[in-house]
Amino acid sequence: MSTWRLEVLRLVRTRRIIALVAVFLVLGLGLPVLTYYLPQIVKGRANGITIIAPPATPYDAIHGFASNAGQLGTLVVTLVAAANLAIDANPGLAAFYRSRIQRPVLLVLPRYAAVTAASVATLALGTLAAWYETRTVIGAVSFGPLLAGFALEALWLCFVTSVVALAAGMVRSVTAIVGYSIVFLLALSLIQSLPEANSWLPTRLSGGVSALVGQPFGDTWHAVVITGIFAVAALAGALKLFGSRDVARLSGRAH
Amino acid sequence: MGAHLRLLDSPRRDRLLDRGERTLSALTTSALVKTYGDTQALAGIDLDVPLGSVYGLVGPNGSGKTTILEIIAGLRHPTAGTINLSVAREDVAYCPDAADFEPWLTALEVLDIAAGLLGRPRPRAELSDILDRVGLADSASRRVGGFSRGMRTRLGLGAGLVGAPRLLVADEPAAALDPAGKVEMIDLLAEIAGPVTVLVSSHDLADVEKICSHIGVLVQGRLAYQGTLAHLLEGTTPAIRLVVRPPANDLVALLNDEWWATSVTEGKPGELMINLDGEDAAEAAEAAERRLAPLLSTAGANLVELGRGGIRLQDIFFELTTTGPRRPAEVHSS
Repeated sequence: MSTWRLEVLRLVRTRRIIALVAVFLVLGLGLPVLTYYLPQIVKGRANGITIIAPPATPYDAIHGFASNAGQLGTLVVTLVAAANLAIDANPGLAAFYRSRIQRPVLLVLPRYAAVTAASVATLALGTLAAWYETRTVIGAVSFGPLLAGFALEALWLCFVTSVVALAAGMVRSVTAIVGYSIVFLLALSLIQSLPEANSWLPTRLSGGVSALVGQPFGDTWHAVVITGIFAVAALAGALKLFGSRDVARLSGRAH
Repeated sequence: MGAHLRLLDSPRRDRLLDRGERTLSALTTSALVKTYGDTQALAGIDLDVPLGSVYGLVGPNGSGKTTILEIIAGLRHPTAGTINLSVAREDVAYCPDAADFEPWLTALEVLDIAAGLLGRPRPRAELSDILDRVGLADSASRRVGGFSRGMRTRLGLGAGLVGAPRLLVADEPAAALDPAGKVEMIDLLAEIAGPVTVLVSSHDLADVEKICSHIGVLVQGRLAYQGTLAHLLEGTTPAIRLVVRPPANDLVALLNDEWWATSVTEGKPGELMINLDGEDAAEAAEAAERRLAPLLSTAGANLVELGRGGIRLQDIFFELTTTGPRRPAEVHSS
């Protein structure tokens, strides 16, 4: 059995793929409908107060999906990637894998690629669902900008999984990996609020779908290049760290 | 091999005798040092594991056995020193004492992935054969998550064998097994030895004595002894420990008349230590085996216990580990 097939089995048998599919598909199917009925829901609960709600637009629906996918989706991807990339969390398992491979890349790359591909594929599924639902219940959405926005979001998820891989090279437990990754991503979001950093930070790509569909997004190539470079550097750093790290003591003792 | 060990009368023992003289090394380490913060786990180990040998690494808890094995397996980086392998890196298999696998894989899939990681895919029939060898044929399709620790240990050995290794490094392979499983595991290690060099750590000196041709005694990160087991046990007096229901005066008198019993001492009432003729130990042992039953019958003694006595590996081990490591000049190397 190849390590690639092993990684597919890992996603399927641990049901982590369900978490990814669920979050993106539920958001993709649910948010356009929720956006469409939101004015009626709000009016129904107005209790005599007059609320003037504009009719939902396709942009509102896609924006709702993109912003939720950008936050909740990123969180779920971080959790799933951390669970997959925590190679040294269990010393017994680490011994099984590490004593049989000559270079860490043979172990890390399939895991990284599998979880990244699964994240991007489920994002694609969610985006398609959001496009279909929006078109059905609200109105047409241009497919071209949606596709370009999806590409930016996909690059963002690649970046997120690279950050998780780097964290997995620094710490061993799943909890610590999730903690390190989230702190780093939150720090990036905070820096993003600075006008000087707004155009080139990877966080600019998160939610790219809604921005492209609704309005001009401006130049993204700075952010795309920086994100790509950082993702590759993070992955290279992860490989270096994995290669130089000892496996934790088996059964917590030395003989 | 020590003369009194022939009392074991094991065909395996006889097969291992020849390997004691081999000089080519499967693995050597030079001045291997490992420190964890301020703690020095290994203080300059010069291990020499002869090709085709069964090398037993023994020592008290915390002496550095697992650390050495994990460094050899590539799981740890030595602080200083070198490792020289005469076999290819991918021909080294490691079986940890706490073997663990993905709980959602079946036993057969574990072996399949073990082969895949080594880049040596194996047909399903061959993997099934390996499971059969380690006693897991009936559990081939079961998920590993439901396995006991003993079953995981067996699977660990199976995963080690899957790449047809030339050096098998096993850390306490029988520690988690029930008595029957322990015997099977030891027998299996003895069976694969020869084409495969086996480096095994163990707390059980009886197991080590049973299958190892060479031994290394580790004490506080230093080798207190390294060499053949025969050399270590050389010069020890073969003896039999016999316990009968007291009094044992008649039996002692009869034993004193036997040529093969050079001396008979009664420690506690009924507990006899019979030293055998060391110059012709094999013949003395055979004579003892043949004569003991009639002597017990003649003396009307009721047998309570019969076993090996005299100095054993366990005694030497205690001596080595309690007196501390010997100076380098005293470390044997054969």
